[in-house]
Amino acid sequence: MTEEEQFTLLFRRNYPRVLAFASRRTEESRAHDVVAETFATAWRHLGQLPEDPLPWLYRTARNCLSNDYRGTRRQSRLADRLAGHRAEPVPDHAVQVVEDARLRSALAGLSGSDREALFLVAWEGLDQTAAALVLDCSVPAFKARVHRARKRLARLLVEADADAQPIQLPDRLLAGDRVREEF
Amino acid sequence: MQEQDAIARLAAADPVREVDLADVRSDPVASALLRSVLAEPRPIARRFPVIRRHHHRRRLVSIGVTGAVAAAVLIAVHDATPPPEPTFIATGSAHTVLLSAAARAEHAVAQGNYWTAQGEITELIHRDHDGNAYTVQVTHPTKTDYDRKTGGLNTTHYLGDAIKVQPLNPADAAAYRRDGSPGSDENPDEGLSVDTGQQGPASTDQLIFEGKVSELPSDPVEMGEAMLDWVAGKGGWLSKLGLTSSRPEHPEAWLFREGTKELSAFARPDQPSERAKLYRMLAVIPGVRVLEGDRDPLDRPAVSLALTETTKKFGTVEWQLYIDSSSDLLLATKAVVVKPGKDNAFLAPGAVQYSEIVRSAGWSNKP
Repeated sequence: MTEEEQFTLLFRRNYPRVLAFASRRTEESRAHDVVAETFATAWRHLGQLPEDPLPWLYRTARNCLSNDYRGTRRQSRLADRLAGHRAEPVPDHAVQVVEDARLRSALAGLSGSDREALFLVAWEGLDQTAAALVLDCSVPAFKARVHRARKRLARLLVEADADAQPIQLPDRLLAGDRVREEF
Repeated sequence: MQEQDAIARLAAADPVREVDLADVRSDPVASALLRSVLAEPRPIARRFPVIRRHHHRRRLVSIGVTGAVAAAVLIAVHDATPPPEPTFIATGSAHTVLLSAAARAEHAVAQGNYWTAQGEITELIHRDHDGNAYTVQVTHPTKTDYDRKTGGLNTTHYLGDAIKVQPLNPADAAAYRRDGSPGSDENPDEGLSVDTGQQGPASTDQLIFEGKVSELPSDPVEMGEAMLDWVAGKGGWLSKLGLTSSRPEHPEAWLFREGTKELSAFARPDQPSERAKLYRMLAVIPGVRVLEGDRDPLDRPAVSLALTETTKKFGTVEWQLYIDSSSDLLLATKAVVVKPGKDNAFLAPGAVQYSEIVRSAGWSNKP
């Protein structure tokens, strides 16, 4: 099989999942850019990809999103300085697109890393080994993170469901100003 | 609430379901992306040094301990090179479109020795003569002939009776009539001064790339730098007079315009590999974006791209280009005024200050 055929096979198997991964975490137009960047990187590193490339692709997509976010933060800080006031923080897309308002509030109460661990399990359907590869941490560390995040999410959901009003969290948590830095 | 219930609730809230995504084979965006990625050369070891010394050591230890077969598996699973963080602009819809055009250019086959391109150039001209100020749209036919055997190139701009003059509005029409309804004339006091230099509202210092594309580096980033170096050293009137020249004030816009001019059907046709280089150079220019719509100004299937430039002289101008959907032919280019500047203050936003449209182009065996 030629390199082109290998890559075509890899692309067709994984494109929908990588696009879904990116679409959950950023707006549609940017998601396509992230996917393009991810597969261009995969093409350049075809010989070094693991047997199951999906976690590697997710991790590369996360790098792209992180770079994007850092760029946005830089622009925001620059805008702050030029305008002499504090710019609106960048909203966390993955939280904003959740329709269930109480779940959205509960998710906003988690740290970025805890939330991402839960997303990888619940949305991407990864096992703990693959998810640890995506987050570049050890499997025991990921297990601990998921365990903590699940407990906290359950508690926050109970609190949210008990109150008819959505939980009002501090701006810094709702807007992702702090949590996105942990992405 | 049980933790399992919380996870189930989160899973149910998944905003994107993979089953809803289009099949890759029937998704045109996915197909275009696949083609563009495969068109990229690999690997680019200079930018991403993927083999590191400590990785070699780790591999040797693994081989010694567990045997060759097991080590190979371990390397494949656990020692994959970490994903590098991207260090240069190499993504986006415009990038994908231009790389696709590069791939089409590279595989184009020229059948025949004679290149002929016909079309027209349209520009908006403002004239203030004898108290009559008005703006007209001037369209003049253009034809290029090129003989591959001799290298002879002949581009004809038909003026005189061949030009079509259209005042922009009734007030312009009245002023134009009062001025005697002039045609084109090299002397601006006698008639309309029509630009035949395929320039449009060139916003910088009339710096023109006249180097050889074949001598430029293949790497698109280095190619752009080499073009900028060339024009700083050899381009422009100052350097021709032996005086110091400089790089264009807006290098991205300059590269976009000069690269487009090199690709124009009215210019000397470059080799397929050189056209591919030019498209790849355009693909790495920051700020280029895809426009909505899939037709060119003559309603032919096309993809359109744009880059916006702002200068004091011409305000904000959007440079647009239209590429044929099934080949590497540039069907049209436009300079659209977004916000007028000092020298085009007579135009309203949205006015097409300059355009080139190719009506037919191709190789043949007949001169």
